[in-house]
Amino acid sequence: MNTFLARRPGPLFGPTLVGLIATLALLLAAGNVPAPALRAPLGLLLACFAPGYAVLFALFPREADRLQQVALSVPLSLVLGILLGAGMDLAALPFSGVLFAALSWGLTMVGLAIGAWRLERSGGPRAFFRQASEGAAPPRQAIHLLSETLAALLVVALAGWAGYSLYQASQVETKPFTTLAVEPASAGGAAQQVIVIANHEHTPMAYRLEVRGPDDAVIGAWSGILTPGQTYRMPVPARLDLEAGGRARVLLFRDQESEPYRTVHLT
Amino acid sequence: MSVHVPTEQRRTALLEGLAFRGEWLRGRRPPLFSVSLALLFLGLGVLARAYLVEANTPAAYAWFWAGLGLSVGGAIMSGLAPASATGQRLALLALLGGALYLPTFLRSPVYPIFADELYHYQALTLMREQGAREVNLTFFTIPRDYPGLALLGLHVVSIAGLPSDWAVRLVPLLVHVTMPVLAYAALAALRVPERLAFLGGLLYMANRSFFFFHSVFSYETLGTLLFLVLALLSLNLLRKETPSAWPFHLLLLPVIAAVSITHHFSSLISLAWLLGCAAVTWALRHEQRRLFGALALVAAVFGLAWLAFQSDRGIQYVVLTITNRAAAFFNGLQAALSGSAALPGGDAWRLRPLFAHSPLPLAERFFAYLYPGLIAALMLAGLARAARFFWARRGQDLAPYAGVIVLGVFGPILWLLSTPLVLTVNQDAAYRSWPFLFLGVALYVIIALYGVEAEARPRRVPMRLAAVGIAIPLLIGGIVLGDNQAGRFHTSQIFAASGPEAVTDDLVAAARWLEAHYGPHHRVAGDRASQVAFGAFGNQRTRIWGVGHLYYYADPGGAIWFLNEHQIDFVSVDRRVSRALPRYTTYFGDADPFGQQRSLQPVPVERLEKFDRIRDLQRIYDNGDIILYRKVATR
Repeated sequence: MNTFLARRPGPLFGPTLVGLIATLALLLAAGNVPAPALRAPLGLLLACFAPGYAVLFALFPREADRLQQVALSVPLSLVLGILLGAGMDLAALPFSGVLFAALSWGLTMVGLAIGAWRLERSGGPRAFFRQASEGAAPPRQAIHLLSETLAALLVVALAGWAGYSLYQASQVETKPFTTLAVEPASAGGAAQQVIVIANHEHTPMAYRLEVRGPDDAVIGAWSGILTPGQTYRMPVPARLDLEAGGRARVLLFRDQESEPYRTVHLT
Repeated sequence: MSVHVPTEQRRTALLEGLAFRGEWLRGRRPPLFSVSLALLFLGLGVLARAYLVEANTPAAYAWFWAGLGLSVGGAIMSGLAPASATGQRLALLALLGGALYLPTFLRSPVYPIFADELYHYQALTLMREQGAREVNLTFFTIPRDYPGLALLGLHVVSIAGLPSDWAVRLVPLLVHVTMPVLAYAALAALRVPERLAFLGGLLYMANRSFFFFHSVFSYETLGTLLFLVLALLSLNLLRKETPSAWPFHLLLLPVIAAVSITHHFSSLISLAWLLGCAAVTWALRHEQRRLFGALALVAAVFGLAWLAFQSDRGIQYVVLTITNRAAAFFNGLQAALSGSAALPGGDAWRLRPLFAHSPLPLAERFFAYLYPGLIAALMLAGLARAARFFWARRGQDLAPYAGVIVLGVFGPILWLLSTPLVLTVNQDAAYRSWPFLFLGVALYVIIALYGVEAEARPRRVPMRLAAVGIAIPLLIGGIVLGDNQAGRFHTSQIFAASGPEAVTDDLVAAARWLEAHYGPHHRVAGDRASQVAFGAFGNQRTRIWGVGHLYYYADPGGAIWFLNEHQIDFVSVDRRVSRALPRYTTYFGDADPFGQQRSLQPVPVERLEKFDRIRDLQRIYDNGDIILYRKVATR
């Protein structure tokens, strides 16, 4: 058998890999690299796995049982994340991604260094790789490898199908509605109130708008078709006089309907 | 760190050999784990179909349960097989935990809709924008005083460079994936065989809060996870043969600190747990007894120190909560004993009825009704079996069983004592404590089936089938009882008003529009859903005592008085309150005049239309169901 394939990860393999991932994640966060497909998974490993793993390695460098290491790495990282945030708050440091990443990386590296030091002092094996014991993995028959490969392919295909189905299910159609609103005059924007129609009906819609004065006379109108997501803005008609304390109404009709679909007031 | 898990003996039974060790296919072992994974992923895909067909139809329920059944079945197939490896069991539990998170995500994939998670979402968003913890929260300020969840969310999304919204999904997903794994590890620490520890992890997922409540971005969810970490570390210390205890003590300190700044109730439960451990270790003369006493002291000091650090805000909230809950508890008890609770207007009217406004089919409800009785029977059987076991060993050193005894109290005994509370106004106290007790419940189900020293029991196939036959109904019952309060599926038609399902696109759009055009921090009146939406999505101040009176007055005069008295800037009217009953007993929260205990009729539509006749109010926004009025200066 190939001697490289016969090797198995040694006690320092995992810690070294975690250290490398943490460093790469820190560099991506520090450089604010716009590559979410790379930064997000590595960042999540640095935030949710590496500190807990490193602390456990520091405390239990020689333990062979990995059950609790696996079970505790994630929740301990979450615990440390909470405490890092609280520490930053106490020290009046700003909550920035780089600082969070740097502190998590520092904690990870300190933990890994202590673990490696304790491992060396204990005299235990500290290689990156170790040779697989003789007879531990008998050569596999071709049919066995084929069945395992086919099973793995089936799992990957089903996982992909499940992921695609979940993505489809998450693309739900939102509740359809049309908004009619009066936006206020603003210092940096419109000098007067603006009437706004926004179509969120998921379908093109024909609208008719009427502005009626206090005496119910139509003093402004508009009609047209808005596509989904489209917005129409109309300044309040200049000849609208509300100084006498009256109230004008803005009525929005849908298609050929006679009952107002939406109503707002101008005062 | 080592956990002694006895190597499982291989059996020669024909069925087991065929099914699990698989001398089929010309003597080769089937890739059982691969088959399990394939079934699990197939189940996930099938589950997703439930959210692609019309909601609440028989097809939707069929896809849902078929998907979950395939996933759970796949996990059980490999998880309970004697030949499976530890890593395989852990992976299956984690994946199953993740699978049970998905329905809550798929119910509202665009934004969170629950008040509990929206408070924390607002805290997280503002903290990230302003780079500090001291932010101006507009609706519920406790997420700033117990900021553990927001700090963790910040930590996760800041490092990964993700939008703040992702924290609301990622943190609960991590919790969901981790909880069953922790339960498994905790039971394995008690020398429960790994196969049965897997069953324990499955049983932990049957707790009523796991399916939905622990899928939301809530500090209680995180607090429960931290408690499980605390329990796991403590159970390691309770083992007699722990080689060195100091690493566990060292690990317990940050966990105690984290739980203290995350959630007050979890902090109190953690303190109670450590006190329980201290009491049991003192009684058994366990070598860790002094250290547990010290840890309990540390937990008390940490909790109090954080309260003190929060000045009067946190103390006020916690003291008021405890006082009110205690008063409610004794009042409820008194009313229940006197029989007045059931009278009209009595306490029973404030209970949230089971399956109110729920379209769940009858078959599902059957499992929910079966659930408490089945657990109670198993708890009694487990306690009886444990008592017999310990009685037979009276006079002997029981210190190795300290963990089993502690979990007996923090499991079946407290569960049995708290269960009657679900019939009183204190039902929330019972429901909220169960996730902390379910590790013990899971252990005592295993004891009921296999005894205290489970590894010594013969592993018969019928017993394994019985375990599955008990775990599956419990899991179904837990899911049905703790189902999504907004309804399991996303529908355009809502079944109740003023609850989470009313936080729809139009309401969120109105809240965002108001902030965009009129700015934040205005006083906005609205029903409970509007209070949450305008508070969290629009950063408006929506807590107005007795706001229901504004809507209750039939004449505009009373409404004008209320508007002026409470300095209200905007009024939100959700027309759906005139079409449906409220999700949580009242439409407007505290002092709701439409029904102090429970609203029995929708709000009359004239009470909503009166706002059009108030000259002090300008109707500025209308999107169909949501109408906004602005208070204008009276001419």
